[in-house]
Amino acid sequence: MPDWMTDIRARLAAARLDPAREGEIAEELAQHLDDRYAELRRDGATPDEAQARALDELKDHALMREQLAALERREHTLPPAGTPARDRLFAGLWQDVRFALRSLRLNPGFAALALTTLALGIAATTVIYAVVDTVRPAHGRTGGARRHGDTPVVCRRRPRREIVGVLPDVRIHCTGLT
Amino acid sequence: MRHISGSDRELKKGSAELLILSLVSARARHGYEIGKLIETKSNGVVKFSAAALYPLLYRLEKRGWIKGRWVEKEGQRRRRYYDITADGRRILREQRTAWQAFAAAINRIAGLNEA
Repeated sequence: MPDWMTDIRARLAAARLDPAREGEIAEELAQHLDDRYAELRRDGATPDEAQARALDELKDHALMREQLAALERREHTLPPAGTPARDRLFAGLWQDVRFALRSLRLNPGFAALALTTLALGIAATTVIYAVVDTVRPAHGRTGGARRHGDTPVVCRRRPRREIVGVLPDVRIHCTGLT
Repeated sequence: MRHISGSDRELKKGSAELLILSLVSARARHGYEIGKLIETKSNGVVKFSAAALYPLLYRLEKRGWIKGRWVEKEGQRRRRYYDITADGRRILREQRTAWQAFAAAINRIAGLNEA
């Protein structure tokens, strides 16, 4: 009887199952392939034919791996009954972080794109705030000195009418603030 | 006999739980036996490869509808046998009723009984 374990473990590897669980699944699949191989041999297949056709049973291994990974992940995410809510939250969070890191490692292209997008977003936001901060009139900032003729900026919808800032002598209607 | 594949996969997927629960309701069976019975009883129309069958079995086990246990026999590799649970029997009853109603409705609409 062929040794199926190497083939099976190669097909399961990317699912990153718990080693003990992976061992059990591999053992069960090996038993299945043994049965299939024996049946094919009884039906007259040569050893090579029987081995190749038995391995066909794992043809959809990508789907199998995906389903097994999802099943095991769900099991890890659900802590035992009676676990405090706070511990449940952090157990799930930790699982999510590990899953995210694993996914990024397995998809370097996507990881690079995601990091570039984040970097560009942060850079663009920083530039916009820096420009606004530079061009904003100094006396319009909170705490700036109020001069004669400046128009107080008052929020009408606040509980108390209060000055939230001052601008040069221009007409201002502050109606959208809460 | 035509083997179910491609666009019929959803139909097969939907019925898989019912098929497995039905087969293990009589007695405990191992994975290969379950797959073989599905193939022979359907005259080869429905087939599950190992890659498709075992994730299904594990899913049903996680739901508590079937329970697997390792059985060792001298001189043989140990086997995992699956047996139906009380919850599984309840689900099986519900699924049988639902499938009967569904099949009857399809028959009435498509006129399959007259064919």
